[in-house]
Amino acid sequence: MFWAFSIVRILVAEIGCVPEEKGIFRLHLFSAVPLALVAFALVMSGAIETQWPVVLGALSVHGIYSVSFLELWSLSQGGYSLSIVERAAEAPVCATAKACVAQRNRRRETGQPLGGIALFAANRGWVPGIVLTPAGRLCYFFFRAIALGGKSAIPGLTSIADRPWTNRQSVTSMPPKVTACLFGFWVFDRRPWSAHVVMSHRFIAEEHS
Amino acid sequence: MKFVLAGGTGGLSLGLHAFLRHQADAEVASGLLVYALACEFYVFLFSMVSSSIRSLFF
Repeated sequence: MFWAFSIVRILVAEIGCVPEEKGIFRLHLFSAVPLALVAFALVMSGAIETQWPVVLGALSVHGIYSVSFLELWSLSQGGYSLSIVERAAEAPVCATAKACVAQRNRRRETGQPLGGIALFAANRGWVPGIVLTPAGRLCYFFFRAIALGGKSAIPGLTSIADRPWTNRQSVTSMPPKVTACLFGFWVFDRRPWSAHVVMSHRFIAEEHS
Repeated sequence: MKFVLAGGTGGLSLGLHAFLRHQADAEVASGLLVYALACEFYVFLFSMVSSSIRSLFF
């Protein structure tokens, strides 16, 4: 379930289109309805010796998968942490971080996602009022290391201190969409009442000053 | 958290009762899967409603 959801989010980010909830719902509906019809037809026709409990169990498995998928999808779309990331992407960055500001403006002009650059700035403490927690910083470095392969996200910021996972002085590179996508999934929710408390680690915190 | 406790207790009770009556067969597995689907659907609806109310206030 988790991996299926992650793969879909990655594909969505790579393809560049963001399907609506209606489309995701239809995707599951169009697989559940044929499954039910085929199972019903097979049992009623006597073509196979499948019993009704088996059919009911198979439909239940599909239902659990679909409902869980839709739930994760809707939570990730409206998650609290994702809204913080969006707000960080629009927040003013410290004037001293000129390279970061330039990169963000360039990405905004070209219509690219700003989540990755916003998290980069938040991790460096350049976004007033928003910081990454220790768990969020660890997660950020992990996914950034995978996505960038040791390359720097921002031209001009290529010190080894920025890249604890490599000793190479890197060339410039744009943060890929996958980074923001994966991280967006991991930080999406922190509501303590939810049954998803397992995934509700506090990756991002707001400073109340 | 309360639902996890209540739902888990109910699931264990159902599984125990079904196992004692039918041993481990397709009907027991099917019943537990239907129960799990009902629990998941409840959590889904609960999350949606809570999110909607939350969005009104914040």
